[in-house]
Amino acid sequence: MTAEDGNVVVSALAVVSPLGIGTGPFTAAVRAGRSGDGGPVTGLDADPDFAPTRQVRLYERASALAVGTVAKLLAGGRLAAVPAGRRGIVLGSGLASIDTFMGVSTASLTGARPYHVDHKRVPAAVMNYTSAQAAIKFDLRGPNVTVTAGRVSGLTALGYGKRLLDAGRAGAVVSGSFDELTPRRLAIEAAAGRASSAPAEGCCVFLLESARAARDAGRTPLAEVLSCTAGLFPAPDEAADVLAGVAGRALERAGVRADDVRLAVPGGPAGGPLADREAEVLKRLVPGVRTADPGAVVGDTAGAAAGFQAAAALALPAAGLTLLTALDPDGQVGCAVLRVA
Amino acid sequence: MPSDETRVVITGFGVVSSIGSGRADYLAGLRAGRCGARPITAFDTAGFDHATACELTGFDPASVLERVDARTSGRVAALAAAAARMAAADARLPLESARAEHGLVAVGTTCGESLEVDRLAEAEVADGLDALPGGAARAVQPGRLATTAATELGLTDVETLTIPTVCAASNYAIGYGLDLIRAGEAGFALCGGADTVNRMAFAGFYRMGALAPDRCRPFDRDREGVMWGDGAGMLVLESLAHARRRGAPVLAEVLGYHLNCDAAHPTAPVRERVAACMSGALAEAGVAPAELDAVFAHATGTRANDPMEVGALREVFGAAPLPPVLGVKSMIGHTMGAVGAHTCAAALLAMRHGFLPPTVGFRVPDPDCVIDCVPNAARPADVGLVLVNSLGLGGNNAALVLKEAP
Repeated sequence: MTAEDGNVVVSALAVVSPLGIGTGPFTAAVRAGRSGDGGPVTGLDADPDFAPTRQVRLYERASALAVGTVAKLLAGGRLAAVPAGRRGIVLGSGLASIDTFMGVSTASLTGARPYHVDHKRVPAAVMNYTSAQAAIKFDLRGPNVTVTAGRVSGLTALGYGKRLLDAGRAGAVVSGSFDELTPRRLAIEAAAGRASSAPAEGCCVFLLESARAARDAGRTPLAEVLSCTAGLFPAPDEAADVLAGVAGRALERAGVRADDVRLAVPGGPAGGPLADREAEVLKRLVPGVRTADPGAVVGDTAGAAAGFQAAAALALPAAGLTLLTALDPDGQVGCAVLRVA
Repeated sequence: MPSDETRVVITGFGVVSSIGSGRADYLAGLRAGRCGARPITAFDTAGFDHATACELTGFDPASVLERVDARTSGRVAALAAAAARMAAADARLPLESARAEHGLVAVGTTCGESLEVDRLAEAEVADGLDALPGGAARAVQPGRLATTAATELGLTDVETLTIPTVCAASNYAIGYGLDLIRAGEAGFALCGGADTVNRMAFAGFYRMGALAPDRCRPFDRDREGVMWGDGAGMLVLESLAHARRRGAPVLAEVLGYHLNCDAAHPTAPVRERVAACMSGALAEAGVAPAELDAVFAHATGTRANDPMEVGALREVFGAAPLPPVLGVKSMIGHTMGAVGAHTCAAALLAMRHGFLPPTVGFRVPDPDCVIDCVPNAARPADVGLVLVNSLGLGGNNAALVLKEAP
């Protein structure tokens, strides 16, 4: 990208959540400030975008969720003008594929022979399956990346996608995050001492491109992505200091002042000490600023959560300059500054 | 012209592998053409007709770890952290000053904290989902591979991410570090990958008929498939200016990188796309194929991969003759997410010590793979410019061009 291309912008989004398929129900709930109990996404069976095809088998529910959401994003041939080799995708999730991994392992342990496993499911037992399936379905032959950084994954994917565009490695990038709700995920969270009161699943994906590419395609940018920054806290009592530093650098990189921020969307896991620390940092950094809480709206979507933070900013009318902050109990911290149209 | 601030160099690496861990032992293993194949001990292999892999023996991550507790971190995270510790030492990276500037820690993987996931599966089979072991449940978050490596070095002003783009993942991690340093967004980057042999990957590929029973023999007429391997590899990347300012030993420059996707099939690679990826890396490097001294190939040793990759190279080279094309997986096994870093480390040693690592286990030439694979014995050679190719399930391709230290 060159200076004339302008900033990276978000020019489309698609959301699938327990509230429903498509961005509409989510946007309405965020605007109304409604709370929800999380849970599964329903209605996938009735929508062909989430159904397997001969080439795209979608062996895992998480993949069906994400590939179907990408279908909503790219509906109507939205990327038709971008050469296939310049179409990239970066998807993040926390634990996607672990359900299939454990399924193959348990089959090996319980079958008459330890190799009596369904080999067709092996590609779905590793985490890049979903982005690879999306590539096949939508002919995305550019960079095809899977990232994971716990609850921060959605911002990690956003930053990776922005940098692919900045480096000229793609002309358009689908960036997003997803996670599924399965008995295995719930059991793992419970055993790890991280059970959520409102576990949920879902996917948010964004179309990223340069401001110029969006203009040329006749798309009105929803937001400019001004900066994406990250850090790591080794122990919970260092989380606040690290977050303050990462957020400060996000503002600095964006070339804006804390006073200019009009909306903050925190993402720390609800009801825990991390969320409290995050709230303290935001209170100091951007006192009195309007906030949004997508976790209260859709539930705890784990590795998809940060995507819902960005989607919430896009859902609110006149959100303006927005600071997104995300933390994971494993120590990852991510921040992003968006200028929402 | 790129400035010294945007030229990215490798100043050190850490390697943990079945043929040797640490720079000296890995070099000795590559020179001797050692093969790490041995009977699997990581899990109970009863019921399999063959069960061989390049497992790590004689390396205890606790011997190098200073902050991370290998007993609770998970094996793969411990290996990633150990490789990161060794890489920082190899690059003489002063951690006090590294902690004061923004950096990146990116760890590629295929199976994540796989032995702990297998342990959860065992617990599920034995007692159901209500009694999963807490330690394993905490360890299986794959993002922890990167956070553990960063924690080992006491880094907090770093982006940490795990890149689970399977067998091309290390090259993706290195490429991301390259872009961040070029853009001035990171002062340094620790990039590579880690994986271990595990039940899921073994049973799955066994079922596909893709595993070699005794040895991985890339480019051999009678090759029988992949052999999984354990290990981790991490590289230290920084700008040339950054390296010079701190008087660091420069091993090589990362001249070019490209990544693309087949977008065609979950398991069968597409020659044209693999060729386009390698061509893209060469174009970014500004290097003509004929200038390459060697190709460090993906070379998995499967029936389908090796002729596909040779065909892709022929497409890239056109009328020009191919340089030696070698497969280090014949020695270290397919170390999955780590293999790109392992291969880069082999290339760095080849440049520094003037030799080509061999493709071992080679017996009979294959008319579909007519190349010089440096069969069975290392060979003295001037190695100044190499291509490191990688590809993974799902059609994920990533290639790097490395040039001997300027």
